Amino acid sequence: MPLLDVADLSATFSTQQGDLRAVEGVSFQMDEGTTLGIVGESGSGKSVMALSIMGLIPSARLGGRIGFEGDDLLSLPDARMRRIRGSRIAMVFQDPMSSLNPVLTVGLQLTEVIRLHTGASRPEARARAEELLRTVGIPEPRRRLKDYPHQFSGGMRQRVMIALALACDPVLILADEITTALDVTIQAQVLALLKTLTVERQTALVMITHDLGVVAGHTDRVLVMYGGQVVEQATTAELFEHPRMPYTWGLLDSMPRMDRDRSKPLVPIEGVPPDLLDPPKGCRFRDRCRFARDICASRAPDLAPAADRPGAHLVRCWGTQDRAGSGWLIGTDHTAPTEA
Amino acid sequence: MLLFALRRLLQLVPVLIGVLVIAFAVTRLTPGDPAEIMGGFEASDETIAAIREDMGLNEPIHRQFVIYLGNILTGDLGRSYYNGREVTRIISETLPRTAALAGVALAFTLIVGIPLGVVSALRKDTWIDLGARTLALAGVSAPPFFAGLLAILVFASYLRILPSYGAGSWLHVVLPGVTLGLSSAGLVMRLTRSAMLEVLNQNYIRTARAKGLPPRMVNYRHAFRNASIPIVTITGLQLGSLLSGAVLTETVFAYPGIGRLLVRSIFERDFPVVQGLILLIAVIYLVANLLVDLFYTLVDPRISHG
Repeated sequence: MPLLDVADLSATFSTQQGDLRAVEGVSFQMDEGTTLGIVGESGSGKSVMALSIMGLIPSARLGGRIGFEGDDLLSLPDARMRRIRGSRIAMVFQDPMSSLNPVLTVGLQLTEVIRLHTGASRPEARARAEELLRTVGIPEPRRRLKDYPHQFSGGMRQRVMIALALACDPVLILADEITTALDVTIQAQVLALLKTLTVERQTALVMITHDLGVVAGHTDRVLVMYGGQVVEQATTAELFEHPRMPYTWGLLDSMPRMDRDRSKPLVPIEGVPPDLLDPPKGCRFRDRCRFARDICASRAPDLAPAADRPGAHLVRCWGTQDRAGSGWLIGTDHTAPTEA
Repeated sequence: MLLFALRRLLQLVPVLIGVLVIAFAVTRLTPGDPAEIMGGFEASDETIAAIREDMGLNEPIHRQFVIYLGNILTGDLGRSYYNGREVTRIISETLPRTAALAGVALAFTLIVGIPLGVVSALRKDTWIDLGARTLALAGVSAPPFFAGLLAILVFASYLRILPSYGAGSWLHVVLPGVTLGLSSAGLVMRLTRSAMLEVLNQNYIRTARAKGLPPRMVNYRHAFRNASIPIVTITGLQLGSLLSGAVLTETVFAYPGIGRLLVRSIFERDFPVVQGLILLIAVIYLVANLLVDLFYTLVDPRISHG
């Protein structure tokens, strides 16, 4: 049985303009100790999905199933869900500057979660908190427990957030854009730290990011999300070597890389993401896709095996699926794209 | 912390001198001659001149001020023109009554305003929220002469459980105290609600929930502590106005506190009493502000007063 089994997950918000479906039909599985990257631009639904797993968006209507250790998280009562949050599943958030409570000491914020879930005594929890700060590389941990968040730098605060997530030895950590708010020089350190600690503890890790570079060295598998849907799914190595979805090609072309000809300019993806209040009828990426044909406008493609990489690769694109009237992108090398 | 308190106390000195200058100037510039008022309608010009001489009103105005300042430094606020009693005595008799009134009003403000605001924020957009907000609006908008009369009508005339006027026992303080506290309770409730709503949207509240903390801990340990910072500010300022702004309420309930004393002294051109009261009110405001500043350091670690 997989550790996490998300099946047909959807999240809908009621807005003044109507229903907004931020996540639609997302399914994936994760085994213990594995790492999954979820990549997509702002508004692709990746953060909403993570918060849905945590049960932290009461304003959304959720559909589908989130299987975790034999339970469906979507149907658990509040009290039982609270026992899982922070204990079995933990989350590290994007902005470490605002994610810690400014009026409580770091020590208290760490010990309260330890005491809540493990029933440890005050001194036991304090010892554990000190050990956690040492583990995440904060010097003089005993003294720093008495400090308030504003006395830490951004990178150090994100280390504290990681310590918080690790506090009760969860089996799954959701890391949502954890390096976005940090200085570039600190980003690699924080990523490496989280990676090392989760590997040591055999903790499964979901790494949510808009940055393919973050996914590259740190995850086993990748989901690419676009307009609330998964558009491509493969192992990380497979995705980088044989990307099959024009949106992923766009992401790769707009990213600076050391292993490509660096004299060529970076190519941005033109256009804007689809309006989720009124999603297009066909493929959601069609308006921005250089390879789109008539079928892309009339019928929405499913997430199905890529014709030339079956078994290894799921893709939501008529061009790379082998069906009647489709498949015109099979075998195309995106690194030398020609106008289709 | 102690150093900070001392420094802040020293900073009060120039402010107080400014208050004294203004209070002195305003009372001298107001039309109406205290000597004529004291002498009465039938006094001869000689009598009035004698009174003026006796009270030192013939000295040049800057001399009068220097004398006044000197007296204040020795703790002498002068004597009432009206009945010749020492101003410090008059105030020390009156202030405790108003303090009792303000105490009841403040207690009412905190006990009613804060819980109502918290509950309203936690139950946003439910009928509880709507009801609490309506009450707060009524409290803020009902002027003391209206709310006071209504209270007298219900509790004194109809139910006959509380006295409607005067002072003397704790029972006498209840109606005017609650009347006085109505508007600040409404204000504090609305402020508490909006502060809580703002804090509940913060990322660190999401973190607290992500840790699996029960709502009680999220709401009180994590949210209310942060929300209390603006609440303390407003409550501190309210304390000043409760102590000094009881004029209407004290009039409605014929309550012999400093509000009524101030109004009467202004009508009688009783300069020493008016000046003394202005000084007292200024000191009350300054001390309330100082207390608020000191309280910040206890609640918000980001503010440090080294």
